[in-house]
Amino acid sequence: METRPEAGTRDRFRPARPAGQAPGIRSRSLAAGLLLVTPVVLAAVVSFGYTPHPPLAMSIPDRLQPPTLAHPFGTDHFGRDVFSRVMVGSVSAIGAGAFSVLLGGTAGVLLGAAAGYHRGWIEEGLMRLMDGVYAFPAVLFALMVVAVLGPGFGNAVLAIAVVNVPVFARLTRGSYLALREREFVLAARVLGATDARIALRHLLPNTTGPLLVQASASFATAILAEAALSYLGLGTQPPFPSWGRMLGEAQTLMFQAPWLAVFPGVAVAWTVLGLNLLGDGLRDLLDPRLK
Amino acid sequence: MARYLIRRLWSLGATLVTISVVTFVVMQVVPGDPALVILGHEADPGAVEALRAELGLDRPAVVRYLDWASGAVRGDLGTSLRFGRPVSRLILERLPVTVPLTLMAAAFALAVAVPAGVLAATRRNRVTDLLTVSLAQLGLAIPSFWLGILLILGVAVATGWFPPGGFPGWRDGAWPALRALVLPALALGVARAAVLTRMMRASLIEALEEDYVRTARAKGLAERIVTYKHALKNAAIPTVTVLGLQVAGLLAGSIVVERVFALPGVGRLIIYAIGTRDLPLVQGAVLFVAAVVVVTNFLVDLVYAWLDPKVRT
Repeated sequence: METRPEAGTRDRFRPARPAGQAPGIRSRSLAAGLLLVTPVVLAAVVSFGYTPHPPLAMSIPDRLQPPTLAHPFGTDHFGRDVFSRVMVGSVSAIGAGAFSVLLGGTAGVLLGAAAGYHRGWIEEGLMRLMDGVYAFPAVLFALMVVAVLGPGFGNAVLAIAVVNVPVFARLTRGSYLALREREFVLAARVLGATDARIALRHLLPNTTGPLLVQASASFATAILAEAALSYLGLGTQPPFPSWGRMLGEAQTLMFQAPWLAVFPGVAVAWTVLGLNLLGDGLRDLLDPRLK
Repeated sequence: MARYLIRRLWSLGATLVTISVVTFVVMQVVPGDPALVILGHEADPGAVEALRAELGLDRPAVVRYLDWASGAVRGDLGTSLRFGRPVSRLILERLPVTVPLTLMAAAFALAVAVPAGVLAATRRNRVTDLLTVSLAQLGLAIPSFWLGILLILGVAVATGWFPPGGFPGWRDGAWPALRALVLPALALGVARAAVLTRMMRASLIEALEEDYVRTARAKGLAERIVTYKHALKNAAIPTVTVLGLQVAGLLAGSIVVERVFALPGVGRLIIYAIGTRDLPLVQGAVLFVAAVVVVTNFLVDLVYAWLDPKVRT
């Protein structure tokens, strides 16, 4: 995510609680996040085997129907069932989030680990490049990548993944710089462990907490970015449903069929909210600075 | 301060060079022949050759980069293929939309965040706080373009107070232009307001736990004075900084929001350029926006250092 109010923990007269954290608010974040995210994941999984109506089947006589029992979210301008399409849209959203975080995260962690562990001039140069990418607003950079590679789900995911690389690289490098001076690293080296083994088997597990927190925040950002790119017509291409694209199409029809503009938007906000809460909850659980 | 300034200026220069290199390199990754990509595959070979020469593709990449970058320093970002006009002029013509839009969104975000953050921090753990924190979470989750669509439906169409889209320009006076920007600024500002509210709340809560606040309380000052005169002043510093950092989010968001409200700004220009494969225009406009973000962050750092001497070391 972007700016997190990161309040300093200070040892005072009572056990440190980060300023800005209300007791009982964040401790419930994890549960609330899970509660929101679980149905979305379920919808995505189920949609592979079952949707109430075929999400791509057009039926012109049924076009632009307001929500009914048969079509709880109504139908679109091709008579397609919006509920089924929102269900399948969760695959685009979760797919975009998962792939871009996995790809960008893995690349970022490896680069950051190399840069944090070795500290040569190649690593310095790499991090300067990372800083350069990091200086771009995420959506702007993703737009530039899509401008070059062309629109489409795969290219959008790749673009968002590239934006994620410096985020994870900086995080990992920071942790490694602190960790590499610790005694357990020296101990491992004395025992004859190779650099790669130390970097991956000894240091990496010690950074999983912050990485996991960042992953859930990046997941949420990726879903927002994919929705924005698809809204602009540069992400997921028709006829495959994506929430952003559905909102883009809904806007042209919003006076005849305002319900079309409601449900995909709720789906985006719902999922992102869930992931952000999940991230906050994980931070409380895992962030060593808060212990 | 002078040494700090020189160091920051050096780092600003390095960052600007890096973003120009990154922009240039990314734009080189076009699969296949850029001239063919721009003109389409049915294009006449003569036209492709002419465009290749115009784009300078027959020269090495390093030469082209130096050429482009030295032009950019002088304010020459190249020529748009579709408009046939200088990229810098095209951008300048659209600033009277994008600049007031982002400023209004920032003003809105600040106007919401400061009172909301203070309210939440001073009523910590109570219903007001919980409500503010929850609303901020919601504000972070709602995509700006969806909010824009909802505002068009729920406010513009329902009340008629604001136009549902389009921009009349500044020629008919400020009022019609500003009116056209109110809803876009709201759509753009909500997420920023959410970020700033969280920041304001957290830094005020932290400030209220400081020793000087305890001292102020101990000498019998009213809680109002302690909060507003002592704690708030210090809590405002990080919030102002974060507002500056929001420029990146505001500019990126404006690209999408300008599309929602059909505003002829820099963002629309970028989307148009992508749609028409006007690569020199994409390259120039992206560099411009990224440079604005970098320079703003630099200025924010300076303001921060000026406000808080501890940073200058």
